Amino acid sequence: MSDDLENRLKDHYASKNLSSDKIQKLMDIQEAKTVSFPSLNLKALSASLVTTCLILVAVNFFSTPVIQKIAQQVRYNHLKNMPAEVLSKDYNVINAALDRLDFTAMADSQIPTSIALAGGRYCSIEGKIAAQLHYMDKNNKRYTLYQFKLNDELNGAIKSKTSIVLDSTEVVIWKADGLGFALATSR
Amino acid sequence: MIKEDELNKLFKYALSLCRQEEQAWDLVHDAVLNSRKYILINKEAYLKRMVRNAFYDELKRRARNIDFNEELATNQLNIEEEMQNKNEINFLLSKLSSEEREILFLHYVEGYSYKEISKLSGMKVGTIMSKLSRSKDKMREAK
Repeated sequence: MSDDLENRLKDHYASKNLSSDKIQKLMDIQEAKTVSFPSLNLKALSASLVTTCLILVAVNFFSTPVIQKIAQQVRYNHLKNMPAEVLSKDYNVINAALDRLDFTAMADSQIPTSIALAGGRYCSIEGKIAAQLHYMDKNNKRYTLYQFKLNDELNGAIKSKTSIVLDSTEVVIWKADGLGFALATSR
Repeated sequence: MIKEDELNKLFKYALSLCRQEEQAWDLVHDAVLNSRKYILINKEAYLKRMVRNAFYDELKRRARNIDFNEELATNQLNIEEEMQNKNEINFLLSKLSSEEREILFLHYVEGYSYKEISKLSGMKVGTIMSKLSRSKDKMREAK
């Protein structure tokens, strides 16, 4: 490659940096991590097998609860506001369109009656396929409802209806009929 | 803790794959978020692999038309538009495949050896060398 082209390639990428806001967001994510996950380096590894085991036990003990991870993922995708793949107020239509789901998305009595289904798309929670359903209230305020099949880990993690507030987003998590539900809305 | 310059390097790597800043940001964000689950000995390599895997998974999904939607369609960069912008290097990069851009970036910007690129991408060294050569030819022809 000519030096000119190589230099221009370097210049091109040199000009591409994350904004300070985005850097801060990533730092915040890591800050949250460093509270509960002590980082491990090679020195710690080589120190002794006992030390390593203790660190692993500590990591397991202090790891972020699954329910918190669900809330973070739902909040992130609520704010991302990706367009629906199917627009409908009818769960039958949505289930027909999202036919790769390994469960049937459904209305639940704990979904507020003041909001109405508007559409849905595929998404995922903890690496498993999920339905991301879009709801609106009469003032056109957006709500994002996740529905996902409960495995043993998720079933054990969701004990009762829980509300988690992350910045200005509230995520309410509950389970019913073998499914997990997570409803996010901006405050 | 991953430092600012390392985060920017990861962003540039993601950008070399997808060329779209918003998508590159999503890839980096998700990689950092997911990295919380693990104790990392070699963070740089792990995060790059996370970004790479997520990008190619998305490409495969799009190829199967499962998750194709309006947003993805509008995200397609318009080459003609780029030419009008006279951003030649961006235009030249648009002529390359994501793998070719990735190799160019890793080799010329990050200074990776062929062997290091092979370790990250899983491609054979010979394949990397021929892709690099083909990339340079394509860029010369496009100029």
